[in-house]
Amino acid sequence: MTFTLYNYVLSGNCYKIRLLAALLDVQYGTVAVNFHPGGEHRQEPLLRLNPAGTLPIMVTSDQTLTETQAMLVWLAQHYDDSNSWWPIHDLDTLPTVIQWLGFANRLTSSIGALRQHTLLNKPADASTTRAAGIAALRELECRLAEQSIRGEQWLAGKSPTVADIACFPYTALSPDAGIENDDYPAIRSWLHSVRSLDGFITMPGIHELHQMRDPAGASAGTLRDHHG
Amino acid sequence: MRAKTGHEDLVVWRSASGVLSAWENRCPHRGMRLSHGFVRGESLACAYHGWHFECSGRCHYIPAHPELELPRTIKPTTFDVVERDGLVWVNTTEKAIPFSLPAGATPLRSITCNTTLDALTNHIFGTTKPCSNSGCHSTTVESQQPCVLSTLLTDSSHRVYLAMQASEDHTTVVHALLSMEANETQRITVSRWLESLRREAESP
Ligand SMILES: N[C@@H](CCC(=O)N[C@@H](CS)C(=O)NCC(=O)O)C(=O)O
Ligand code: FES
Repeated sequence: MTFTLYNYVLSGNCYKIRLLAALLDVQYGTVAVNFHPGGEHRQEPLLRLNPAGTLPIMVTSDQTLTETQAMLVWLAQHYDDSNSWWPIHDLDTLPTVIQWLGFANRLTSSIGALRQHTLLNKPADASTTRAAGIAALRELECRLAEQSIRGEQWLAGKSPTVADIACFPYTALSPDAGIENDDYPAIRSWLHSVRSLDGFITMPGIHELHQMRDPAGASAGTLRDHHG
Repeated sequence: MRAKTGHEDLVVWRSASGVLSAWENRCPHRGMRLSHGFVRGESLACAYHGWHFECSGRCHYIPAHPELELPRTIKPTTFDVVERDGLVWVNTTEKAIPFSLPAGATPLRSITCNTTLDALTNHIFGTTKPCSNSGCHSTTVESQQPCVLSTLLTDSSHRVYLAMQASEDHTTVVHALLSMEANETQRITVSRWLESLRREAESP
């Protein structure tokens, strides 16, 4: 087995790992954790694996990782032969990738926390997390708008990287937290690009692109969908 | 996509062949926001029960009753829409007439400010600072259409045009356009300047 993922279906962070694994076509094992209402991740024996009491947890043949962004790097390093998802040889792009991996933690602590508060009634300061979530989306929008001025559609460099995967779930899930994405045109088109990736998978709250079909059924849905 | 003008909540969408439509953002079936729907060829499909509406607004397909002959009256309220200079103009009461922009302006980006249109224009006319740190020096503001369109002269060759759209929830969408000749660095500088304009206008 390549690795084992301690997984919770509604977690945006767990979904990052499932998504990149699907994009890289990697098979793995999962252990379903009763995150809510069981709170298993905050109890033994899971605390022995991850004393921080968070999900996801990734167990490989020789190590245990408890930070989502590190798991993304592990996956890319082992299974992306093109070295494009973790562009280790592109020294202009790599620092930017790491910058947006760091930013992804701010999406978790703002939109992610507010979403858990909204969906699962977990404690959070709704107005502070909301303000932080909107500030984060504005920063992301600014970056993506500038990338589009440069003729680029991804967060760093010319192709998708682990940074795009790290920032995708909580941005796409912001409506769950009561923050609509109507006001962020560059974000909307980037979400569309991620959802168009070959091998893309969904989670509750993040659905597939509706493939556009020729009304006569003649061509096999190759045209881009234009999501409302 | 969803758009707001004054008191109207709109869905604005483009068909596969490029036809633009602007409708009331409410499905005639159960009132679902049509902006949650998706474009299928020349139709907009509602996300809820999948009713299909063609560009005229007419509903032509109901998945639950595919054989049904549908009355022409099933349609959302539609509005007049015109596209010019990369901007889409909608009029919810009469014919849409775009304000004319000098030739050569291309859209830069659209940002939403948490201020009313009045507060924003007051801020722009009162306190606008030069778009500093690369090539943009004198900043003078000219208003072409009161409260709707202003022009900012950034440096001798490049102008920024701001088309400002008020919405009933006291926010304002600013669509910024810039002379076609502006290069990448200048475009990014103006984008950053817009961000600081918003920060200043929003700060109490
Ligand atoms: N640093 C961790 C944080 C992950 C995180 O916050 N996970 C959430 C679930 S998506 C969690 O476990 N929260 C603990 C809780 O709410 O009990 C990472 O990025 O991997
Ligand atoms: S609400 Fe639109 S199809 Fe039912």
